[in-house]
Amino acid sequence: MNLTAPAIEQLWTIHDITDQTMVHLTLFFSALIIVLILGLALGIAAGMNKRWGGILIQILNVIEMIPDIALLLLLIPITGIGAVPTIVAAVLYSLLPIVRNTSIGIISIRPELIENGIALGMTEKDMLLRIRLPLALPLIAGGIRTAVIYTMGIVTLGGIIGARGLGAVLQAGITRNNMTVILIAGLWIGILAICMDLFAAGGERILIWKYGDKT
Amino acid sequence: MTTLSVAIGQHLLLAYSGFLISAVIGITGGVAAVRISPLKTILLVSSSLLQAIPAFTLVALIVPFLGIGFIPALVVIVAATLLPVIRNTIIGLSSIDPILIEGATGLGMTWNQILIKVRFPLGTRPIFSGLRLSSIVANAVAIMTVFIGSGGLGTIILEGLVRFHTPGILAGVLPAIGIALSTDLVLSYLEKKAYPL
Repeated sequence: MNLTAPAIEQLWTIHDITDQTMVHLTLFFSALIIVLILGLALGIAAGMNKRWGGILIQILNVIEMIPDIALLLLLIPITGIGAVPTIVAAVLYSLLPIVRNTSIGIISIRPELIENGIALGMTEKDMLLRIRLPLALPLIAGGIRTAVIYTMGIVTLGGIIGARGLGAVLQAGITRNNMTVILIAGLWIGILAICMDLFAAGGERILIWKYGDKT
Repeated sequence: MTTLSVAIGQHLLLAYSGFLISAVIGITGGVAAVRISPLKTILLVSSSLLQAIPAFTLVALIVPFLGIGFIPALVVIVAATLLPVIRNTIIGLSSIDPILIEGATGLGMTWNQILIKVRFPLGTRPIFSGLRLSSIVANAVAIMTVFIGSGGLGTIILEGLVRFHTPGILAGVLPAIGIALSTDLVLSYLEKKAYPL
């Protein structure tokens, strides 16, 4: 193993790690944006309609029990290999925490607040936007944090089915038995993943401080 | 060419010996952390950070240290599944209404008696949700470890993937899903048995 600075720099260039990091982050953020929009919409719908919401959450629960790598590979016959199955798998896998937390968040509001809203003459839509959603934000943020971790995991796995990104660098390191590449790419992914988690955790803290139930 | 039954056998051995080791170390560690409070903070903070690292990264990172084969694969599975067990055990055992702990102390129960008769029964839910998450992660990581020569269902899947042969991929993926779902059923049954209320 050669861990001198020039050697690391050389491997970094040979394996295009800067480029692969950009690909990795693009995959990560595309999946995350889709899962946020879809998750919030489905979560609000699930909170408003308990029967269908229950069924949806049951389905998502079953998906969650499938090992992530199995879900990713199951998509290959349908979508082929590359970025598409990676993003689809990341979205499917990360939906549950956001949908569940959003629907629980908007349902479990203290009843006196809802009564206040009714007394003020608010419509259902006003109450959703001005009472339910703001108060659900801390819980939703918790769901997003879990989704960030899941999405990062699946995007990394995507490297083995041709999605490029840092997972592909890791796999190249394993197949070529190049310990230095494994160490560099592995530690780099670890740092990125922890930074994303810290970001999400920071956001969660701020929302809890701003909107958390202080009683 | 590995036959399917051999692959399933290797997969079960790898995934569930890893899972059992994690369960034992994780629950013991959780109890120790509840007993020694500085350890609790350290474990909660570090487990929350390390959980963010993708499992496939751990699979790769073990190679420079332990090489390839069954044992490194087992170590990776333990490393990936230990955190949720420890974390949820700590949360389960320590988020008990303090009035109940005071009541039990007032009845003259020792710390160990409180642990077994109050904390464990009331912490069943979080502890089992940690175990269930871990069993699924163990199953998934046991497939990924084919890249570091662990054998098992990953072998079948990798063969299918390399030859771009869909039935081959399914032959490996479907048993893995079946195993994950049945383990979850068993654990949810055990959870119902263990929960007193």
